[in-house]
Amino acid sequence: MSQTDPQRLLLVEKVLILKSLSIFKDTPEHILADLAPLMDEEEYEKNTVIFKEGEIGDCMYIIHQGEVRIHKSNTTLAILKEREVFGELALLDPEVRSATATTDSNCILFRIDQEPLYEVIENRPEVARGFIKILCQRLRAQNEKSIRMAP
Amino acid sequence: MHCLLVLEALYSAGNTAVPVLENWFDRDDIPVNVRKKLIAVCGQISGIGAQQLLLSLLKSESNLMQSIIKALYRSRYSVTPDREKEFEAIAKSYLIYGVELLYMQQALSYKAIHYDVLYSSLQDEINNIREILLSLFGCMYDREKMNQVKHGLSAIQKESIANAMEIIELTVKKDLGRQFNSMFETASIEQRCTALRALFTNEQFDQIELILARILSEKPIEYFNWTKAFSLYISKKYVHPLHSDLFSKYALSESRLLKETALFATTP
Repeated sequence: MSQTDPQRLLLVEKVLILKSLSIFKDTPEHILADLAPLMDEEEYEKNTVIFKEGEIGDCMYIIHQGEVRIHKSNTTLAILKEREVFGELALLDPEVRSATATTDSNCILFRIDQEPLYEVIENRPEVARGFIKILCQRLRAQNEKSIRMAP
Repeated sequence: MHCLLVLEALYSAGNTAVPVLENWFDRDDIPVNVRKKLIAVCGQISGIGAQQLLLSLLKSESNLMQSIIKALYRSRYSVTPDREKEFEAIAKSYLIYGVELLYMQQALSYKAIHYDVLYSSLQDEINNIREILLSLFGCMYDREKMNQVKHGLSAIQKESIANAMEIIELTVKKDLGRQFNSMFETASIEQRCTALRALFTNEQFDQIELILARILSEKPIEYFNWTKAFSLYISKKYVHPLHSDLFSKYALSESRLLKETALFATTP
């Protein structure tokens, strides 16, 4: 924690948080260091709606503390915990949210918006390469899954 | 945005932009990060004029050697016989730098688990040295084959790594190729350090402070800002006292990451 503001995380500490996420585990820290300044810390009380199904989303969230419920009306689809992310595809390609996200406890989230991300990418193409690599890995995994499931 | 537009205009102008770039490199008021971008544009422009400018910068901007080598490779430069020795000497230097980083990693591998991130940061630095060496070899020997090696080593599969190393053996001058392969083969860190002992400069890394001091002194390479920032961070976090001179320049850095971490590290 910073000495000037004990509650504020240092950029180094934000990089360590990003690195601990499964989507960034293979991304070098020196590239994540360009993403860390984009992480806006947001605090939410329990039962706060973060976004609603049907809204256009253009940001991703990282759960730093607390739990978030992903649901359609009263049907819970998932309970996400610390070090999990949601909305990551909307970061690259704005889309309609397919479900609602509501805090299941008091939460601290980090939000990364698309616009500043694109500004970083303009100056540091390595960041875009990192995202492209992640997408390719997911696509390959999905292809392999489809092949395995084929009759 | 202004900088990007200028870079785009230079690139569009092609070889006619080379004299303009040459004048800018003579100026003292252009910061290092912009100089690096101008070097990259030179590489994109390619052609004899841009390549000659890059070659002249190897001497005058030796602190930007990494960017210049990558730009020369990007420009499809082929080393001429009169420059062979110079490029071999540069390749040898980077092999020596890489060995020093390997020895740092070896020392860290005996330490507590909370140094894992520093270990992996050094691995990123070694991977960067690998890119520089392959760019040099691409200029010195065979660009297409070195491209195959780059992809083979990035695939992180034993078979593709073995194929890449075979290409190196067949393409690169014997001692350089052998040392490169020893550095990047899939053996343990101990085995690789032993194989490359002759290139080690005998820096002492038995204490973490010595590794951190070496990184913060920017020796033997410049290091990524991340590696330096993380070194500053763990010097405070895990109480590794370092001389204050090592922190002071980072407290004035243009990089927010370095500046913020240096202030954290120096605050009692």
